[in-house]
Amino acid sequence: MTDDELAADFVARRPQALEAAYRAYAPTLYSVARQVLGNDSDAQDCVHDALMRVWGRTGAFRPERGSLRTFLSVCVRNEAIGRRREAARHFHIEQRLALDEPERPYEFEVRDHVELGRLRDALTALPPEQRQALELAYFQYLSHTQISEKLGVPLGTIKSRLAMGLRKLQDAMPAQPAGTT
Amino acid sequence: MKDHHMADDIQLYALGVLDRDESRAVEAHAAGCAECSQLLGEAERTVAALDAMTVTPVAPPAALAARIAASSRVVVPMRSRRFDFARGSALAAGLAFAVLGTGSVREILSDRATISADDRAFSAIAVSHFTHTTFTKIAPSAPTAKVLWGKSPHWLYVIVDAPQCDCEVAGITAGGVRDLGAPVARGATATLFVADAPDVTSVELRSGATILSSATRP
Repeated sequence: MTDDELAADFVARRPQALEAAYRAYAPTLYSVARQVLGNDSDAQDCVHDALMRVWGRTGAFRPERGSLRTFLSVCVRNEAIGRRREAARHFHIEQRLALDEPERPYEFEVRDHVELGRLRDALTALPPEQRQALELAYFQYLSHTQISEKLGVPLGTIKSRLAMGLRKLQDAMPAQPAGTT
Repeated sequence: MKDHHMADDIQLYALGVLDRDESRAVEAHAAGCAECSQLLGEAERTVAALDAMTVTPVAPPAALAARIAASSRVVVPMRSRRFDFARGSALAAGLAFAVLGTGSVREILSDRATISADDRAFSAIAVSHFTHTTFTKIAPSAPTAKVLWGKSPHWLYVIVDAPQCDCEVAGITAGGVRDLGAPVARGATATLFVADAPDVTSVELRSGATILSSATRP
């Protein structure tokens, strides 16, 4: 089944469309959750619950949104980030996350993806304050409020830096091929 | 340049920096707005590209596919079972009312049933090892709930922190979804004891076809 067919079934809420989408995109969805949460048990719950929540919402995915894979991936990522923040409120869970999580460099480490070369260049070209805000959001999963507090910068300024930084990366992305979902 | 109706929130949502309420607002708006939905998709594609560069690929466990498949197939409309149960209870209460002539028969019958189930639960708790997990909320309206998992024998005991939760409990097994029944009101909580559930790997609180929350056996 093609991505377009999966997306069409999902929009039409055909029986087993969610199951088919999960089977097609499982490695992407699970890897994202695992990366954010740092352990398998929480990652499984996260992917399951995120998909059920999406499936239970009428009109959650519209064809205009683009790729079903990307949509589901960001839904899972946001669910994982929400859980991580929630867990961090409980000290013992925070300790567990710290233990489970392998150390990794706190900055964008671009791998050798030729098609993403422009994105890599755009990342490098970002003004330091936008790049710093993006790194805190993307790698440390901080909320806009937490970034504002951490940097001692007004919330509105942080929101602008984050949005502007991501827009610059968007502009650097190659156009999505027509018909790609 | 700001983006249509949601200004910077489109990018902030895609980055995951909004709180839950703000995220829900973005999702609700995008569901009804084609233009914002498209803008959101473009921002999400950028985040997904960052993921492609930075996320370590991990193979998902096979059990997760089975769990998702089971949860997504809400084949049996639980609402209809609830109707049958309610009709049966009303008939029983009506008959008892006619025979005993008391005005609180329904409450007494309900209370007796609950006490009996709770007695069995307390007995199971007293004589066996168990663990517990808190239900993770999927729907904002989900009540706070917890499940105790008996280790041997494999019973489970669901406690919902709301006497009228209007929900039922579904057990997820490797073979599909199993309707475990509805929690029964008991004071400030509602409880459900299932004496034999060795095949249940996770449980969900459901209201009709809507999954309110879920919990997984540790």
